[in-house]
Amino acid sequence: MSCPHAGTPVGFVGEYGGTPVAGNSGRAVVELLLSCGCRTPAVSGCRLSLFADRPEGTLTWCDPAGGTVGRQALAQVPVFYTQLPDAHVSDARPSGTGRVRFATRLAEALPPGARPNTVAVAAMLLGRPLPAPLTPWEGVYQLPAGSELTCTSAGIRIRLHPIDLAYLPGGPLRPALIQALAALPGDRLAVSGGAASLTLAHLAATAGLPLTAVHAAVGLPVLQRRSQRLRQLLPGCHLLDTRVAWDRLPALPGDDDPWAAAAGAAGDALPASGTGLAAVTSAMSAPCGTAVSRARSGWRTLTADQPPEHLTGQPSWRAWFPPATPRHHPPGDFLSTSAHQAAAGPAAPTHLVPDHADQDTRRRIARIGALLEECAWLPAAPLPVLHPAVIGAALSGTRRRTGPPDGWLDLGPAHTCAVDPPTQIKTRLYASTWVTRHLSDPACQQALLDQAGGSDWVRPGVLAQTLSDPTARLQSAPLLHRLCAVLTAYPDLPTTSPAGTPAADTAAPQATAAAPGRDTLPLAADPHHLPPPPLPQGTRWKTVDGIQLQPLPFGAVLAVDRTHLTAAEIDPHLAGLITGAGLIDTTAAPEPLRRRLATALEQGWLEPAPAPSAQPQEQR
Amino acid sequence: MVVRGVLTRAVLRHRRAGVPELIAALESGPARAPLPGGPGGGAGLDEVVRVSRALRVRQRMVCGFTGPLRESALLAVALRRLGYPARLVIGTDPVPDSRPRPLGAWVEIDRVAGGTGVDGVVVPSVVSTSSPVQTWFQVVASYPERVS
Repeated sequence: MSCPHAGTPVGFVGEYGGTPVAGNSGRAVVELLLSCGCRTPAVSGCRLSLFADRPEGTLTWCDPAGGTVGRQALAQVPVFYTQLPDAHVSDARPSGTGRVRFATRLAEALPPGARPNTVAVAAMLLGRPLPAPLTPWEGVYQLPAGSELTCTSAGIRIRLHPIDLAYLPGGPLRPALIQALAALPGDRLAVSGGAASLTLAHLAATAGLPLTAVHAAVGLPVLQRRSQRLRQLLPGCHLLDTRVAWDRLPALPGDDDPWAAAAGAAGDALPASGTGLAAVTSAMSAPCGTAVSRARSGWRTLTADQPPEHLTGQPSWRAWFPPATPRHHPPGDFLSTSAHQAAAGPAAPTHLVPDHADQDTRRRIARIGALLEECAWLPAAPLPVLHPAVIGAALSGTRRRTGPPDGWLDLGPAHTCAVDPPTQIKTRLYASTWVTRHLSDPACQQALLDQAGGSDWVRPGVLAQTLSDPTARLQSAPLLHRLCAVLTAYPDLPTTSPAGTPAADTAAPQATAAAPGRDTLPLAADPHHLPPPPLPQGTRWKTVDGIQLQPLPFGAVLAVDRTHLTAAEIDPHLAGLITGAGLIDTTAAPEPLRRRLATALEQGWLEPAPAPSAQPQEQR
Repeated sequence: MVVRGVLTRAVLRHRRAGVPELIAALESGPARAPLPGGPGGGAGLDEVVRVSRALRVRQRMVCGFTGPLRESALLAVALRRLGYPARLVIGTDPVPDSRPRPLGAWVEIDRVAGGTGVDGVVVPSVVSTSSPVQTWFQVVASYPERVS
């Protein structure tokens, strides 16, 4: 390997197959991708790992002599492959046998004229994980972790291997995390503000590792307090202003974390975050009987949530814990049944689980497998939790059942838990911010309607109604954000159901026929769509005593009655009328505003205010 | 160290009170001084968390499961009765995914920060939930009102 820039291998791209030659299973051409951007032929193969100590189990390799390419069970470097038509065989032979192109970067593995995969695009649109081993391109697949691809003249063969628990060193979690942090290739640690990230940063600081904690700060009122608290907890944390990164659209599924991307773009080193640690350690659900241990851990002990209906008012000595189900975001109505059916592709379960694994180990390994598949779409973010020492420590703790499930939190400094919102909520906030900034303009809304309206995945009428209503727009923000991202990456959404899915072909017209009114604006049937009552002219309005207007992010305003413990969300225009000029010609006011004004008067929290004597009726 | 009988009496006194009565008790009670801070987070907060946990257990034994607003209100009243500077806070999700906009309630303790670079500043600390309410929820109302 010779490179004038002293670059190090970060990937490879190659082709196997074709006509067999003596002493080899087929032609093999492999190039190494170097960190400086150069390429160099790889004669003897390549073994890659994101960790500096290259532990067993994390290697991604290619062997031109044997015609193999593979990923070990915890390999974070992805491999994409596609079968190519063999020019040396007759046309009667099935296309693609015996010749394969592979690469660690998706763009390098794309065959000429690659078309988007309809199933993958639909999964992107709905926010579902990409059905493994699919990629967003037809005919291009991702090699699963723990598998080996062999190419011979007869075709390609994939062998699957589960995780060998024997090479996972068990032990305490703290030294395992420090070992993983020390083995990171970069010098930065992306601190998202969550407890897991803070734990990693705290361990790196106490262990004397040369890792700089980096936090991607955004200029949002909602998250400004998080930056302030991080300054208190991590005085040496480097804060980055990443407001620009928040305006970009994700380019690939899973690439929707502006924090990690901004932290990674700030330097030439790879960032590491605590996302994976939180995911793996929280993968174990709460079995019966752990209430006491959780109570002693002090983590979820005092979580106050709505109790189950049948327990309301019933005394009990046992603490009740809310189900650990992920926050559910109902999909928007503006997506048709065709889009939902198109995303129902085959999803391969992980094969990494050993046969003798218990239920908790299975659950955690399944989460590890999901993290490994996600690594292909993350912006080059190594996850220190996928170091074999950390996995071994987590699994051995599970097997021994020692300590609380969230015991890793005890590794960090005191009182660092309640700092950051969960990842799903942050993603929703990101989408809400983007939608508020980019889809509030009617011209942008019309452009989105023009672009998406031709597809039978979208109901144009419902989409128009969603875009025009600020509250509905905010509630559907994640879906709208994904719709814009998908339309940017793939400008032509399918106008027909995907081929090969008969159910979608037949269900699409049925769905259209079953809901004929969904594409039309339902304002005509709205019982509240009545002429508003007459209002006095030129009146200044004010809230009654005890009512406070509480502005919220993204333009919403709450009218709060502290005395009677009630709150109502009011129209931002009405709030501006109350707090702004306060004088309005109610005859010329828009009808929705007049209706809301009349409703507020009827509800009793708004009243006419006496006009100041200094400027009587002068604005009429 | 608070003895068990005192904890139980603090809950029993308001076991039949509704939310309006609890809030009236919060706003009419005597003022409480902020807890002193300590290096690395403050030992006073750990004590309040332990007391809150014990109060929550007694509250559910005596009153049963109720909504989060009443539970938090009763916890705040009991803590104030024990001399802690507790406050009931009601907040809302800034980006709701459902209508009507959901509201949440939690209990805060005024504490003087120490050992974190902002010594002397009164920092409200959440003691009733592990959710990151202070960095995520938007405060709508608090009883008694926050001193900015």
